Amino acid sequence: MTENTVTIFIDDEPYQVSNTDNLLAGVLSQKLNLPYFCWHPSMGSVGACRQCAVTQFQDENDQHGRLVMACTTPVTDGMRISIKNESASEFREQIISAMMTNHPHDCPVCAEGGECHLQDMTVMTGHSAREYQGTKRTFSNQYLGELVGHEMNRCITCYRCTRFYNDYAGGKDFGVYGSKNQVYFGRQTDGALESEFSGNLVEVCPTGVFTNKVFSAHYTRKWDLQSAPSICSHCSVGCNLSIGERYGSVRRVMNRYNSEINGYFLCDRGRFGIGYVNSEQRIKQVKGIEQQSPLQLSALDVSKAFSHFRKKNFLGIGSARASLESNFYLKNIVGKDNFSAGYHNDEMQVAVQHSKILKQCKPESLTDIETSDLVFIVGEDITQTAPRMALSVRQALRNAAIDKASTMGIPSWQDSAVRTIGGTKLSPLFSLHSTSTKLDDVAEQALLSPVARISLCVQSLTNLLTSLKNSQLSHIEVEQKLAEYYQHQNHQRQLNTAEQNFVASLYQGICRAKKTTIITGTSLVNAELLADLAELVQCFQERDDINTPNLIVVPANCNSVGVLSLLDKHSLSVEQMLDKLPEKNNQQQDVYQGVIILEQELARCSHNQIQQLRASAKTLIVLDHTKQRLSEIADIVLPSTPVSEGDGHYINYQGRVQKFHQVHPPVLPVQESWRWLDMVADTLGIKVDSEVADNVDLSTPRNLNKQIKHVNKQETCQSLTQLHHFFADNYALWPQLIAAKAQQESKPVARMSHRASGRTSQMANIMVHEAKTTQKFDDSFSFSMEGASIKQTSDMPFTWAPGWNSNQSIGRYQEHINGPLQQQQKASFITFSTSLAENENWQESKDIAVNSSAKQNENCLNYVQQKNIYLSEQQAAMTPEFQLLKQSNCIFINANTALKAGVKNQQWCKLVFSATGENMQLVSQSVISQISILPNLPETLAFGNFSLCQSLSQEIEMKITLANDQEVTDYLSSYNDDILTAKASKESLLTRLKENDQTIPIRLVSGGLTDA
Amino acid sequence: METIDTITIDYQHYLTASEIAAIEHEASIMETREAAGIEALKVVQNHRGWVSDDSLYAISDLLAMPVAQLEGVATFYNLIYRQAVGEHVIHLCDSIACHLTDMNGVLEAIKQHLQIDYGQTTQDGKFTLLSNACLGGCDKAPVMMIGSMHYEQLTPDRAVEILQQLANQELPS
Repeated sequence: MTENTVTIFIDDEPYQVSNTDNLLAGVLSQKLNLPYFCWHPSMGSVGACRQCAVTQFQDENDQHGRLVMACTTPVTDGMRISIKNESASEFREQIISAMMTNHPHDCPVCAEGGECHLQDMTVMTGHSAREYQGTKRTFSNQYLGELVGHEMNRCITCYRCTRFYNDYAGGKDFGVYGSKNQVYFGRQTDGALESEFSGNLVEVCPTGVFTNKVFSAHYTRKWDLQSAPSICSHCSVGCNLSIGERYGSVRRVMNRYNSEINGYFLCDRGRFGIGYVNSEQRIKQVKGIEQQSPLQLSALDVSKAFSHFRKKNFLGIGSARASLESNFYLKNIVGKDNFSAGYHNDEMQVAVQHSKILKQCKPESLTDIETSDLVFIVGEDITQTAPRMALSVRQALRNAAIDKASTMGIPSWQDSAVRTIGGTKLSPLFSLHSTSTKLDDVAEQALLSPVARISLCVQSLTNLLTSLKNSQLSHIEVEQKLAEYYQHQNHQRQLNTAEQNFVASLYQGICRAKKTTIITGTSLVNAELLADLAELVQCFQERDDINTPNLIVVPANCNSVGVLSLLDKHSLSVEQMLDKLPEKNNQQQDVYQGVIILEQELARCSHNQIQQLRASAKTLIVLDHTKQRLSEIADIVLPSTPVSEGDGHYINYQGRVQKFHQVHPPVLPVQESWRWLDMVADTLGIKVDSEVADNVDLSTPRNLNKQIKHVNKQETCQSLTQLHHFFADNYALWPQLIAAKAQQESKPVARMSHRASGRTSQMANIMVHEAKTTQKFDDSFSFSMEGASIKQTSDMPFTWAPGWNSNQSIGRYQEHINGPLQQQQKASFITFSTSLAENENWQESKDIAVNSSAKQNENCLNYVQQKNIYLSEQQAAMTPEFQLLKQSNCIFINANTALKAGVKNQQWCKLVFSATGENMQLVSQSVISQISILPNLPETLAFGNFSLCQSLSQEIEMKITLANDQEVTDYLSSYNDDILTAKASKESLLTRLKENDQTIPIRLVSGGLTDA
Repeated sequence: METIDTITIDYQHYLTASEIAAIEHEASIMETREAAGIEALKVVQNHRGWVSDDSLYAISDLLAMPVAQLEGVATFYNLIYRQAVGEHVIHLCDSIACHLTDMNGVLEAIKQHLQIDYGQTTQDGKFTLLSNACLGGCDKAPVMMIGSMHYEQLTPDRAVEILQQLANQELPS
């Protein structure tokens, strides 16, 4: 806002406004009130609603002026406008008046009531009387699935829904029907919305046409919610959320603006996947600890139970979904030689490459991705695994159209004009993966390949970049060069025509691009691919004529990168850990007392491995918030908190450190994992490396028998801040940035709005006295409507401003429209050591990949499971609404394979998978599935939506036969049973939550077990 | 679960060769295939009298465009019929000039004669009656449109006469 700032006069007052945006954005940036509907800060202007009319004057002598729509008017130096002018304000009032002729005024039963942009704007224009006497047009509503509700009568035809759903998010099953006074927004027929971003309709719609169905089922007004700033626990992007709670249950998730990450939008996994915190499967009691008092578990009970284990060694398995604090604590209780992240050998190899890449370059933010003019996505279906990033990629693809428009003098905020000029023009996206993805539709080229071939393509691109110094070659010349490289290679190492074409086009694209972004991930669990990509990015540095691309690795979980930062060369894989445990019936002295498992279900472990773990561990201690197979077989289970009930930090894919805050105190004995570990540490002691900083001096050879100091903890940490101080005092390795940031001496910010109702009667069923506000040590938020205003912090529990009750109020807290928040603090990023890479166990062995492709059998292929936004993440998958979205089995195969097997598209088949090689977990598995034939799929690849217990790089044999009627009936009935079970659990959950509303316990202090 | 199965209609089985050829011709002269959507709807309507759901799915399959988008086009234009209509569709203008020149009298006479109301089709499938917002013949009001013909300066008697003539006409086969 420097060289682009000009002076404009609004009602004769001078204002400094940016001339790169439209007048409405300029006015709102000055925190002036001007009503609008169709304009959206990140979707620009179309001028559909005529609500933001202002009077523009020719010069200072012009008394009359003319009406202009602020959202479609550019800002020019010295322009004079009036908001207060009578003709403009009367016009705005009349627009509302006309919209209201069809609006049903059903605010009392509308889920949007109290946070409705239409209500706010109506009040803002001064329209306050209902004068229309006629009938209103009415519509039938559609069933849009389990997540989004539809109430078309409330529609004011601003077109924001279709602009978001179709234009912004690339949806295809949504449209606008009819004309004039009969305009309908919805699907062609009833059915679940297909977009991964459908939940944003709830926030994009200025009124209550699209509502959060899950929230509506167990509803409360916005002003009665207790909210806290949180971080999404469902993928590695780390979108900022505001989680709202009332009467002890979480009601909903809303977007929390962060200018560098999620902006205004979330994906459906983030918005609706919070259901798991209310699940029936939550662990609410300890197991395996004797309780003295029948009323409550005490800290003494815990230390008594653990006193047997004093001086005993444990192995510890951390988790990429547990907080950084919990993982760090566990590592230091068991000692770094005994710590595992729950990764298997192949995942450890991936982790090595991932940490090397993170050490080399910092991945850019989502906002930065949106400025790219070429995106290359390789080996990851980000629409399903990091959905919000896919939405940013879609925006990046618009840059070609925006550039074209700007050459014609059309600014980027003129949304419909830019889209008309752009037509189907998109910036290039290249997609190279083993499964089809939703982004393939907008890709310039999308190639399906098994993982070994993907690596080969990346390697040949690297070859091109290092050997071809000329970036001006024609496509055919590049392809010739490629053919030359590989003519002496054996057949397996040669590129086929499709691959050659893909690599050549990609090379040319990269040569032309100003800013390339490469996105990959860990879901193919292939270290070689990551190593190849790292090498690819390296080789750009030798080319002066091409800009070095940014490489983004998308790991699986919300804290994968946090865990990665804790791994070092001593860290164990699951296999190594199992080896360390004594064999069953082995009489030798037990080195290990047992295993402590932190929020980890070891999903990739086979049944045998789990049994081995159970048999060989004398004591199995599990900390988790929800029942899973390990908690069922554990000796001691300590109930921990999900993201909404505790404090902690997650590290996103960039290494960005983000704190999630407790929304409401859990019911004891549930407490954060780090509080449990703190109590355990009191008894077991913790291990502090005497050789301070592991990664300070990498050149000197290290003494393997170094001293480990046992520290006996004296006091329990009462808060995260105390814990950080304790870590910082004892560990040079603990990231100082968190400790430095945590201290803030200011009045706590209220978690509730100052309009929270029924405050004196909330607990009336338990006691008639007004309950004391729950106290919490070192908390920067209060469990109350009293406290500092949300304005004081960039971590806003919710957003609200006088006159602005909806989430659109965020504009009042931005420096300027789409800018950072006024209180925004500089983001902190974690640093990485390469210590993990020093462990020779995890050095990649390229031979394996080569060997496996060499002994390729004709009937063998790679089967890859498609990722799914709803069900691929363990926590979100527990949400009943998501379980209802489960699809029946489907496998995509090549046309030749289908021909050989004599099966046709959509037929039900019986697939028998069998493994031929050594070290295979899978012996034989049969699956009933529907066939889909995909012409461009290589014969050596198949993908589907069901899982096989086999590792991804392994080739397996697949036999296809037509399934008989009985087999299909049996499969479909079991599938329907699953759906019915999910439906029943959804209903019983709702009943239970509504009953619980009446019996919430009072907690005076939110600490741990020791708080009262 | 209350989902509705996705309907897929293969255009090759549903549309006739001449329909496909006509639509392909329109698609070939447009910048993008979906731009031919409106013309494709007209082609199918010319052949079949109206655009059924199945016709809609078939066109969307042929033009490789989302059915929601095509439905948006089909429902926007009042001359694309998404419900079955009679042989002749009467578009009676109900704009202000026609109101001033006794369009109501004409309407009553038509209703009386055909025994149908707005939006209905006669039992013999000959006529469908629809209202139309301004046919652009205000100087010759009241006006109605049947097929490609405008009938101007109507009186109740003349309107009935026209309908009788049309009813007696043999269809050109």
